[in-house]
Order: sequence, then structure tokens, then C-alpha cells
Amino acid sequence: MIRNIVIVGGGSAGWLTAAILASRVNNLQTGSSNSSAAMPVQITLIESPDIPTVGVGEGSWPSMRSTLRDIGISETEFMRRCHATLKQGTRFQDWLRGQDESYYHPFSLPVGFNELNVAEFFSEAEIGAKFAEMVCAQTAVCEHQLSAKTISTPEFAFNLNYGYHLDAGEFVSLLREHCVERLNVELKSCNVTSVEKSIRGAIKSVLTDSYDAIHGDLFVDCTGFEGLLIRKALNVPRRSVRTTLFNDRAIAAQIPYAEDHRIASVTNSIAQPSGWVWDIGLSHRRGTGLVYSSEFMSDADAQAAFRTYLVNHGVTDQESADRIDCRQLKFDPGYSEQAWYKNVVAIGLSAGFVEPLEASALVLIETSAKALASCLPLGQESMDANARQFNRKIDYHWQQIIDFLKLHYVLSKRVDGDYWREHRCDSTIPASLKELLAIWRYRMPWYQDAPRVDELFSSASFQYVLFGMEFERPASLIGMGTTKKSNRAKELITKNNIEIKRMLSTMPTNNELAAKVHEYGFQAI
Amino acid sequence: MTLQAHEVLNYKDHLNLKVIDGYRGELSLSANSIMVFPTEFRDVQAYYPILFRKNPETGEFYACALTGFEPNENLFVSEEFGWQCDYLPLMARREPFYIGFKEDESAPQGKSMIVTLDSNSARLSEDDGEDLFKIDGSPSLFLNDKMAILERIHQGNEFAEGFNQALVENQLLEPATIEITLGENATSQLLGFYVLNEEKLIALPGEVLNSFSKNGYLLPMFMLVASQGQMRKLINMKTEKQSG
Repeated sequence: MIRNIVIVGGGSAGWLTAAILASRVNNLQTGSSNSSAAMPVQITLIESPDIPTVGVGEGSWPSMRSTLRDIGISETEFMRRCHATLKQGTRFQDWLRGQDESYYHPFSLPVGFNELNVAEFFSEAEIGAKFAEMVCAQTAVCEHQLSAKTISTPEFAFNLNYGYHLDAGEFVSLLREHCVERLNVELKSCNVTSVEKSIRGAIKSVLTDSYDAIHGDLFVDCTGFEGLLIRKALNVPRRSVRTTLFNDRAIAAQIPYAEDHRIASVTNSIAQPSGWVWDIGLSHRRGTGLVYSSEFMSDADAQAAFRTYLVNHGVTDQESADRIDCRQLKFDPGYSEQAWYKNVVAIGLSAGFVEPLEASALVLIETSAKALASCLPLGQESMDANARQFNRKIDYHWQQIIDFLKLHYVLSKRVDGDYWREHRCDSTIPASLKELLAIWRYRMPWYQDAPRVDELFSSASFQYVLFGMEFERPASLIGMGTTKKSNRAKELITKNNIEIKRMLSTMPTNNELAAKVHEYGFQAI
Repeated sequence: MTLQAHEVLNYKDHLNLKVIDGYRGELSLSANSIMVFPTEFRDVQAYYPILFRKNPETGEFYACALTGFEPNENLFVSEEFGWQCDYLPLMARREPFYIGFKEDESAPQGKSMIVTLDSNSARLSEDDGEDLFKIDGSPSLFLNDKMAILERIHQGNEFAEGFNQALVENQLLEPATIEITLGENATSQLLGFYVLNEEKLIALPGEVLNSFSKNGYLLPMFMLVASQGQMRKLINMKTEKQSG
């Protein structure tokens, strides 16, 4: 029986994993009526006092709401501590032609999505970016910088589906405090110096600079790009995806708001000649940066391009843009061939990282930690079977993330550089994505295209991107179906228009909600 | 609804002003619930079901007496006879006066209470209604009565703060699903109301009940429980009104 779980690394991945595992363990223990059968599992987290966290994962998916609720952090406390705002989706600008056009990928599903595939009745080439507006009231709400809920909406409940924008550094400190004080996670502050393996090749213990050897039955590698256990100790190879997703560099900056700022409802993603800029609005500042490919742009050019963006988009004036302190990040896009090998589970950057488009990093940490938590109670002899099951799931998610991210590039019609042309080059497109595109040439994505219950991106996400990027289908195929169905589609569009009016008159602005969260907080019911 | 415009009540400006009291005629308009305070629950529960709602501006809970099932329905009020009940909640008797505060260094909290008046209120008149001041400038009996009501509202409000907090902290409130069947096919659904969970109240640990008792919360809590019996009467009033 697994009784000692040791998490190595204390960033977002380490502490989120610790909180999710500890909550599961506590539930198992209090849920057991027979006290002698209660399973004492100790969670220990080794955090280096010297290694800073990467701390740029500032966008979450709606899944973070249930994660926070499950680990017992109140939404009010979370939002106050992490300067969090409600994220309702992403707005993509300049991705299609680079001529100031934009479209939304909102978190809410198209109207009537569980009864009818409304998308079937419209042409992507004709409707384009208007699709998200026509079928989802959230789009108009985002366009007006309005909030996804009111102060009288109970915590974690929503009027419109949402995740968060959050300060990653503050999030780590909140999680650390919560884990240690309320969830019985043992924190060992020290640096790992070496790793001791058993004869069977599993990790037996880690040696550190301030404790004796720390033994564990199961180790979670949350050491970031370093991959101290999974890669360095166990030599599990990484699968590079550089030939599909070229980005391998980012520069990031935290920028204060101007006095009359309006907090955005979405992550803004603005395409650039050799990459794209993210712009995230927290309650007290922006987090922004440029992600690009070193193959197509030098670091110096990237610095210049980023500062030009800041000035041209009115984020700062020239003088402050020149003075802004930027962090440079390098990564090798790819993921571990096995996330779980022997008794080591990699979660977070150690398991893989592609690029921040569509904010897949935090959600994948949550998904991985929850999947691991659901393997408990775990016996030594069932370790390998659990590992295979876990790896099949994580592998599936990586495939889908890669396909979905690549879709954004493949459909672009930008002609202003090699970067975009190369992205559309047949040899860079995964076979799985080519298959999907071939299918979607004739019919819109629907449930069978994202069939799992634990899917990260639903078929609605694919629809929003296909319309936003004006994917082309033969005109003769559009608007097919019985009159009864197309009438129902029209009814749903009308219903959505009514919903838009209602939302625009009832939802507060993001700034108003942020002030009220600070002053009053949400009620639990 | 016209916007409120508050001015400080004073003898000089308001000597000739009169106020029409009651809920007759044009003043019969009302909402289907009205805020009430734990300090008046004993009287309220004898006639009205007491529920909770959220203040839309703050999300905080407040207690209210239910008076109807449609958005602007007050089954106790008729144009001809006004508000017919032996007890009218304090908030129903305060119009058009409000409590304001002014800085006052001699007062305990550095501010003292003043009376303000909504100068857009339909209750104000030059011809009809009650005088506010006597010839010598002293408040009329009518105004004295209103000021006493404002004072009780102020006290009720302060008490309600701790009381509501105790309810929230001990998770005693729960969302209420109130669906009323009226006649053959008509149903009416009340949204956004909360009620006290009786079972949770009774199951509270001794030390919590003890602190409730010390703070004077216990009595109003049981008044809340008792008030639920008035729901039946309110439904009867609604059915009678429909058939009559």
C-alpha cells in the first residue's frame, strides 16, 4: 500500500497537486467508518528555498472553480489574495489576416448545444466572427467588459461560465498556506542534491541539503523544465512537438494599469509576424508577454516587437515601454513520453509544455492531479496498471491540445512572414488534425469529435475557432436539414438575442465586481 | 420609479410641507416583500412569512416579510382601504423619511443621526396630509412618531448585522424553492428567497446555541421558524383575491 507520497517542487504544479491529493486522502480517511481500515497517507512536499517559480501561468479554465471548491478554498479568499478576475474566454485578434479583425472563443456553449448543432446552418466564410456573437450571449458580455456573475451570485456559481485570471505567485503562497495549515501536508524546505534508486529502478528516496534521505512510495515530479526525477533520474524521453508548434521562447512583463483602465473579460491574444502576444487583466495589473519562435525571430527583435506592441496598443507610452523589465523564458515544446513511469508521476512543466495558447498548463495540472488522486488507495502491485491507465489519458489530452492549438495556425490566412506560411505547410500538420479537417470540410464538429467525458476542449471550442478563422466548406452543404430543424435553429438565435439584452442590462462591469468582491465577498449559497 | 432626492429635514424649509400617510389610492403601489428586522420579528411573524433575500448591491442577506407572489403584489394592500393588517413592518411606516448621519465630535462614534426626506416622494403635499411641524417650530406628534420609527429601524439594523452574520457563519440559511399552485393551471414561482433550515438550527452544538442565547438571537430565530406558518394564510389570500 502507498503510504508516503513525496512531491518534489513547490510551484503551481506542486502545491495544486499537494492540495488535490491531500483533499482526496482526507476524504478517504473521514469517509471510512472503520477507523482501523482508515488509510494514513502522508503527503510531503519538498520546496527549494532557492529556485524561483516560473510564475507566468495566469489563465485558468472553468475547471478551476470545482478544483478550488474541492480543496476547500473560498472563492472570495482566492480572488482577494490572487487579485483574480473572471475569465470568460479568449479573444483572438489578427490571427486570420492581421488586419485588425478579431473573434471570440467564449467558455459558454452555443445556445441549445445539447439539442441541436446550430452551427450546421451557417457558413463559416459568411458568418465568420459573428458566429460566437449569434449563438452565445457571453460574447457581447465580453465585448462590453462585463462580468460573468453578480455579487449576489453564490460563490463558484455563475450566470455565464467562467474561469480565472490570477496572480500565479500569490496563488502559490495561498495554496502553500492552505496545504500546510489546513490539509496536513508536510513542507520540507530544502534542495534535493541526489536521488537514490532501488534495484528495480524506481526512486527509493531523495537526498537533500538539510534533511536525511526523504523516503517515499510514490514521487511526484513538479520540478518544472528541470524534470529532475522523470527525465534526469529515470531517463524517460521527451517527445518534441517543435515541428508542429514552433514557439520556444517567451518574454513576460507585469504592467500597471492606467488610471481609467477597464478590466477585460477575456485573455486577449494578438497575433504577431512571428508569434503572438497575450494580455491578461488582473484586478490590480496586467500580465502580458510575447511568445515566439527562435527559429523565426531573434531575442532582440522580439524585445523590440513586444515594446512596439505595448505602445501601439496603448498599454504604455514609449518611455515606459523602454523601461519595462521583461523576463525571458525558454522552453522546448514537447511532453514526456510517459508521464507516469515506475513510481514517479510528472505533473506540470516536467510532464511537458507546448505554449500558453488556450491556457492549457493549469488545466492539465488539475486534470493530472485529479487523475492521480482518483488512483488512491493505491497498492504497490497495481502501480504499473494504474500508470498505463494514467498515461493513456494524459497522452490523449496532449494529442488533443496539440491538434487544437495547431488548428489556430493552420487556418490563418496571414501572408506577412515565413512563420505563418510554414505553419500551414502540410508536413507540420499532425495526421490526426488533417483527418479532423477532412471531416469538418463536410460537417461541423459535434459530440463525436470530442467523445470523452473528461475532454479538455469540447467540440464547441473547435466550432468557435473554425468560424472565427472562416474555415471554408462547400456552400452546397450549408443549411441542409429539415425545415423543422432550421426553424428551431432560428428560434434559438432569437432566444440568444433576448439573452444578450438581458445580460447587458443586468451584469456589472468587471471593475464593479472586483470592488465588490474586495468589500463584501460572495455568499456560500 | 422616480429617483430619490434626499434633503435634510428642517423647520425653515419644511414648515408648510405635509405628508400623506398610509397606502391608499395612488400610494397603494408596493413590492412583494419588505425588509424587516429581528427586533420586530415577534410582531411580524404573527401575520407574515419571514424569508431572506440578498441585497443586489452587496450580496448580503436581509430578512423580509413576504406580502405577495407576483413581483409587485402586496396582498395586504388595496387602493380603497390601504394596508390592512394589525402590524405594519417598520420599513412600511417610515416613508418618506430616511436616516442620515452627520459628523458630530460629541457623539460616541463621531457622527449623529439626522432625518432626511425624499423630496421626490409622492407623499409630499402642500394641501393634504399631516403637518410636520407645529407653529412654534417643534415637531408635530406625527413627525415625532416617524422619528421614533427611524430610531427603531436604526437599532434593528445594527442588531440585524450580527444576527445575519450568525446565520451565515453557521450555514443556517438555504435557498428556498417556493412554487405555489393557484387554481387549475396557474403556478407562481418565487426566486431569490432563502429560509432558515430548522433541522440545522436544532442540531447546533450547545456552545453555539448558548452564544445565540446570550446575544439575544435565539428568540428571533424561533420567531423565524414560527412565521413559516403564515405562508398558508398568504396563499389563501391570493386564492381569495383571484376567485373574488
